[in-house]
Amino acid sequence: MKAAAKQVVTVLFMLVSSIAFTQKEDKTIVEGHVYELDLKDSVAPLPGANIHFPGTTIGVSTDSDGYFKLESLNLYTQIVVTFIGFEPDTIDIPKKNKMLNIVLKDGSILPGVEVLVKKGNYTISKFDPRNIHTMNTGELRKAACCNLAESFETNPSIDASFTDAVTGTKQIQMLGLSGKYVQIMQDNIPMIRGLSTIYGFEYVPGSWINSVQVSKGTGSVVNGYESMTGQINLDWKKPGNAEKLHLNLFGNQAGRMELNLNLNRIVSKRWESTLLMHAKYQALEIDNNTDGFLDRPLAENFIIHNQWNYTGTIVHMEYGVGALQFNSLAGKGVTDKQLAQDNLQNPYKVSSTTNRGQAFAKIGYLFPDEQYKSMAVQFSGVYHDHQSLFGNRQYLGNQTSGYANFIYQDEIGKKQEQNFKTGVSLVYDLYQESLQNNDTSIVQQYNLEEIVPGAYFEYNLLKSKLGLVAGVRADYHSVYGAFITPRVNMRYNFNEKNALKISAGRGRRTPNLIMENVGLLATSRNWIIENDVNLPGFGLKQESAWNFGLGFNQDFEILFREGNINVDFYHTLFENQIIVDLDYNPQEVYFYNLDGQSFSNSFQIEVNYDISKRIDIRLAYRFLDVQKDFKVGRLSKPLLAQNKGFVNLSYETKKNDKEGQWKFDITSQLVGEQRIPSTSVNPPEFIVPSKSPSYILLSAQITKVFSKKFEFYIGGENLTNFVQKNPIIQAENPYGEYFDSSLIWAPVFGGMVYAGLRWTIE
Amino acid sequence: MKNLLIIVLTIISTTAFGQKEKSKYQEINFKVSGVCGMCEDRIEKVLDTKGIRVAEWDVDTHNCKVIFNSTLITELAIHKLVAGAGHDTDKVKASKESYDNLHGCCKYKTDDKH
Repeated sequence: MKAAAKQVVTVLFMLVSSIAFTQKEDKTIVEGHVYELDLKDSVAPLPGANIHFPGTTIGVSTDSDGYFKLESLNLYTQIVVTFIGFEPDTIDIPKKNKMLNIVLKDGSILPGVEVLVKKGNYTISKFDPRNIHTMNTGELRKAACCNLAESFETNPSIDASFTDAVTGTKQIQMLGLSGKYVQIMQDNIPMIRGLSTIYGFEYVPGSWINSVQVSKGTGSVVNGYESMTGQINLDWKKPGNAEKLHLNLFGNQAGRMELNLNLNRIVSKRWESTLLMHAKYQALEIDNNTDGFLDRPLAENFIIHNQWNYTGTIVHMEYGVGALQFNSLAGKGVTDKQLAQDNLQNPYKVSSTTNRGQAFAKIGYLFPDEQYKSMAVQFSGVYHDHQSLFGNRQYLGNQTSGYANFIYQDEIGKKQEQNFKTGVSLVYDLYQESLQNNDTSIVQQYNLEEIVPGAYFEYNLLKSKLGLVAGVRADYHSVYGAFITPRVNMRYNFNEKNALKISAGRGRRTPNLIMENVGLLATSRNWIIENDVNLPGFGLKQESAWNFGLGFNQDFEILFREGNINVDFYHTLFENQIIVDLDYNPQEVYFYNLDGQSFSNSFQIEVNYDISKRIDIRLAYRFLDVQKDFKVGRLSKPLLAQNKGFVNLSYETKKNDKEGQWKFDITSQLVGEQRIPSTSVNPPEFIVPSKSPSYILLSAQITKVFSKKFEFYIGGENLTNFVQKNPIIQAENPYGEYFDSSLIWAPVFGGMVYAGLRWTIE
Repeated sequence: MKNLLIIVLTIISTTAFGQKEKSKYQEINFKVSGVCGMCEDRIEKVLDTKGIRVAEWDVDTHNCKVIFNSTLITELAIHKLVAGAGHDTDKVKASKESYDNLHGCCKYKTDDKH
């Protein structure tokens, strides 16, 4: 390791030294002219057009010459240009301080949209003090299937792993720690939390998303105290960035069919509305490994979301409402076909039903003469109901949540270098859960009501070379008492081609024990919660951790083509964690408060380079060291690969006159050895190895773009066809004492082909 | 571990390759007529061809910067490519036909509306 580290350092220096250092003042200013294209096909200046940053009220109007100038201290990558009777246009802000010439088209007649600056699919921010990786639509489409848990395949910072071999649920991991330690937000409102933590990304179809911001390390205090390893913000398709119509159809070899339909309409001068719909249907029964269990659950899912935005000169409002229904069925001996084929002794039914409704409102008020002064209030409400059955174990969970956040923002001084955000928030959660364990006579009830008022202050310094976000929040939890959450992020740019980032902060969360470990119900393991009757909830403490990060990002140029190298290191140290102990006894799973140490070290190096104008490569390597003190002593976290390598290569052909082209994308991952919890005391036939082999996964996709309106894609997942053979221990008798489907370290499903199409009207 | 080595080797080989090949490349700057972002797209697209490594046209200064591999394409051929798309350069003028094919907002010869 030492020698290799030395090599990495050498390479880094080589890259750094080959770069020409140029000094330039760092400011984010957008200026330019807006023109209209009239019926005679000639251009004329367009006075009175509005230019604003997406999702904000920060904006200006063009003058009589169509000229505008808009400055921002915050990080925005795009501007939106609107004018009555014209289609709004979202434009990327050019990297160089270049004048923009924007031509708005009259929506009714003229074809062609003038895209002025090429969009980067994947960017790592140098200006934001946080380590933010932004993936936009182009990047998300590289893994066409299907929901967000699967879209992260091309992002080396995030892993998707299966929770068990029966339900096929994918959950994400960041810094080697479970996705539950990542705060997930929908347009800056924490939405996927509580009972939806594990399944949450399955509720977000990839084609509903405009971009994803992955922020590693400690986050902002404005959104609450819950982020521990990072924040993921989902920038949904909504008024301002949604297409007039977008249809996505998807089907795969395993009989999975999906339909996504996005519609957007400008209702009036001020109001615009977006409607998003999703349906998934899986009816084909597949059991390739002939263990009697369906490899993929049968499913019927529906999701709908509707958003209304009002854009005024001083008030901006957003209202959204959504609902979903998920039904799935898996296991053995549960379908007519299975029953007809086998005369099964022990049918084992795994079913789940989820009903969810959510709504939010955001109202922003801008002070007309002061560009950086604003007030905003956010509200959201969630109702979530989940039922699942695993053989003879039944789980019922119900969550009702409310959220309110008032944010006031203003600058300090007039130099536009300092500003602050401050506000108060209120979170309400009511959880009602029941678990019927193996012994069918006992039903355990868990109820928890939380009311958490809080207040926060965040200071922001934005100098050209130095940036700082320092925040602190204080919350009073009705069950766990008062606590303080400090967080600091800092950036230093030696020059405009690099950024050094340092962060430190604390986060905590209330565990939702059953739902977070629901895959462990698909085992015969007896659940033992070692609780303290004096504590609320499950009798367990809140989870709490400190996170420290160090990152360095450098642009380089090889053969006149730009590239970027990003190196980061994160250390997470738990003050308390709920330890899920599978090692003590293979017939039991223990849950208890951390007694001792639990930490995670994550080192990642990532290189992005444009080999030629239309060929991009991304290489990454990650090393994880995650250890905890279990009952049997300190062990590494099970079912986690310490080493992981990643290559993504994409190629696009030149666009033809109709904007048509071919796109090719290939991703390969090398997954290192993983520790498997001990099964050594089982009878010989039920013992699995203590380590998994390392393996390589490969996926590829080809997209044929016929025009801006229509494209077709075909792709393959798991093309190396690597599967974990016999993923379920004692599959023949799911009620036997050794049955376990949770020891999953590789895909259960082999190579698979999928295809689909996208039809878009802008 | 093995993996890290592969990545390191790839980077080293790319860098080494870069040093050796660099001398073949030549940078030129020349004026190209045009008015808007559509022009920029068109000019840069026609220069996205074999032998050309970098092509950037600036709408304000009208400067076109091209870095090309002199063993694969000549300077004159680059001018001809741009002119062929309807844009006059220092050395080669666009034909009437190709100019007439330009979109309305790109007609740089008519009175400048900007």
